Amino acid sequence: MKNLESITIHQFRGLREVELKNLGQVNLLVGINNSGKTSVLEALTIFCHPLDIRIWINTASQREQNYRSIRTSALEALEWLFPRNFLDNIQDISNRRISISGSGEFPIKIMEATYEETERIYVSEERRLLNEDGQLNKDEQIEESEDLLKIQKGLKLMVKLDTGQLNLFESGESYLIEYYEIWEHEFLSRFSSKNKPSIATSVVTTTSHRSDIGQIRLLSEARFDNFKTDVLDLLSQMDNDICDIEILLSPNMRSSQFNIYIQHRKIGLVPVSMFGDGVRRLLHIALKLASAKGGILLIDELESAIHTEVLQKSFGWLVRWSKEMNVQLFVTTHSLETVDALLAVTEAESDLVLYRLEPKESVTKVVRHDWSRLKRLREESGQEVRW
Amino acid sequence: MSQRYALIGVEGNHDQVFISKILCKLLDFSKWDEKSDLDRFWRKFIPNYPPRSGKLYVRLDMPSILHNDELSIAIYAGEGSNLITNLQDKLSDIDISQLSAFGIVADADKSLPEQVVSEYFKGFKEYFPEFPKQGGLVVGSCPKLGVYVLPNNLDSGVVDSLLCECGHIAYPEFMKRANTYIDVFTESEIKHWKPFDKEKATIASVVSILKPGKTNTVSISDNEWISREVEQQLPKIKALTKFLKDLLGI
Repeated sequence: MKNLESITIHQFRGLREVELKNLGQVNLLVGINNSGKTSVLEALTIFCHPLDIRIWINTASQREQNYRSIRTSALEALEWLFPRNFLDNIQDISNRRISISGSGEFPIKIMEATYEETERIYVSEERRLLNEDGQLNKDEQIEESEDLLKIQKGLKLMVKLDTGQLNLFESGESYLIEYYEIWEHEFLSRFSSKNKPSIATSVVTTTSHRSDIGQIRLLSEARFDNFKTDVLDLLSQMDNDICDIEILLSPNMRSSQFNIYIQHRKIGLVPVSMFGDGVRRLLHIALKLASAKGGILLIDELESAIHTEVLQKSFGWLVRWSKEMNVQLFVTTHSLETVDALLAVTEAESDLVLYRLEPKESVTKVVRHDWSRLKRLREESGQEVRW
Repeated sequence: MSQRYALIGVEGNHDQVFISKILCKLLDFSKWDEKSDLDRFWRKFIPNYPPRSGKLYVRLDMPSILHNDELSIAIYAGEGSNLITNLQDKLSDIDISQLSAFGIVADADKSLPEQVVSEYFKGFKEYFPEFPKQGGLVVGSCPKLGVYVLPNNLDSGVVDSLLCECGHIAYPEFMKRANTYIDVFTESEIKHWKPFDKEKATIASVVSILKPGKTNTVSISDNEWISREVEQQLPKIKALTKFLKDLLGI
């Protein structure tokens, strides 16, 4: 049985009753812009880590990675994970509810979450210190009751999980309810996700390959897993002269900062950041795959930065290793070439399933094509399947 | 712009042109003018060439598109027994809630009419649970559903069986001479014939006079095999036309 055999996103962001039945090894999400493909990936991330508030916040903020000048606060981003409808009754909290259910090996069958906005008053530490140190002139010094007290906004989050079976939680019940309070400008270290139900999940966004954060750890893990040779095989699809990859201390840096270097037959040792997007993206996907062993890998716009000529070989590698590492893939695409390349490197009914999201008036309709039908539609009829 | 859509599946290109002719000649539909934009609803039916299968000689399965002010009809010809699979694939990829009618016009060449109907029922019940189990019957309201087994939901035959009867009214002398010509051939000369090939050869003989060098489909489309006079004199054509009217709700 797979980690996830089916998933229904009853309410999440703009999605309503999105039912993904009979999930496969590679689950390909297509649909017009704003149809909710990325939201499905986000819903899956949260469903697989329902009690990890860091993952909630990272997921909520993920879309803003490219828009650093227009930052939304973490709290506001979190609220946007919940459904919003201008016409809904704002007082009715049932509208502000995330609800996702699923089946498969993952023990959580139903996840529901609601939130309430809250506020508290706190003493502004910065103002208090300035006051005490006498750094403020008389005019600026004001009574504690007036200015030292600040209003801090917060969010009370309630997450309810149901396994459908007794005794899976410490309470002996089939369900668990956890409450969290998240306050603006507050560090999240005290939220532990240990011993909480989760599936190993890695996320590849359209731009995450450009960030070095975490790449070294991922490569180290891959090295220990004897996976590096195969990662090199993949990178050689892009450039035949790539022959090794190492973590090294940069010779020109004074700090002891390590970097990933690629050994290239023609140009020698080159920092990976000097390579084009394609190499970096493939390396990133490979390392993320290794980190999701036994779990799920979510890739937004699979074809991004990869030239059409190497799609098939790269995807062949990805499918082979996803099976080897028992990683279920959920990928979005806008590209027919991607659909065709995935069809060419898969061969069994459950290897590849396409889900097309079609937003309707009140729900998102899902058209599902299994591998056989998709193959007939594409290879015999040449039919468009993205819309 | 048409408001309603109807999809009719047929088993071959002779059936496709025959049903098109009835709809145009007897029910006043017009053929889609290729210079105008094809209704977006049918865009999934536009075949791509070359297919990725690499079969470069494959016949493109573009449906015939007909319309009047209210209704747009696609007559889709599948490849014989693949019709069910092909139509299932199409139905799985379009918004079937927009169909006001879905029907099948089949032949009873290899099986009895009730067996033919049963196969189609099994094939389409997933999409249309009310799909009829009886030939000639139109059920449901939206979409209306029906299956018609040529020549008359009772006898074995194909579209050419019906065309021969049409020919005897439209071109009686040509049909008589064609029959005389066909009858000259000995058993050994026609031993490769399959059932109903005699009817096909007879039609082709007349077509060679009406439209020398052209195919049967061109003649069915351009000549008078189907006309109001033929409909008046031939109950089987009257019954088929009534079925189509019921199916299309006109």
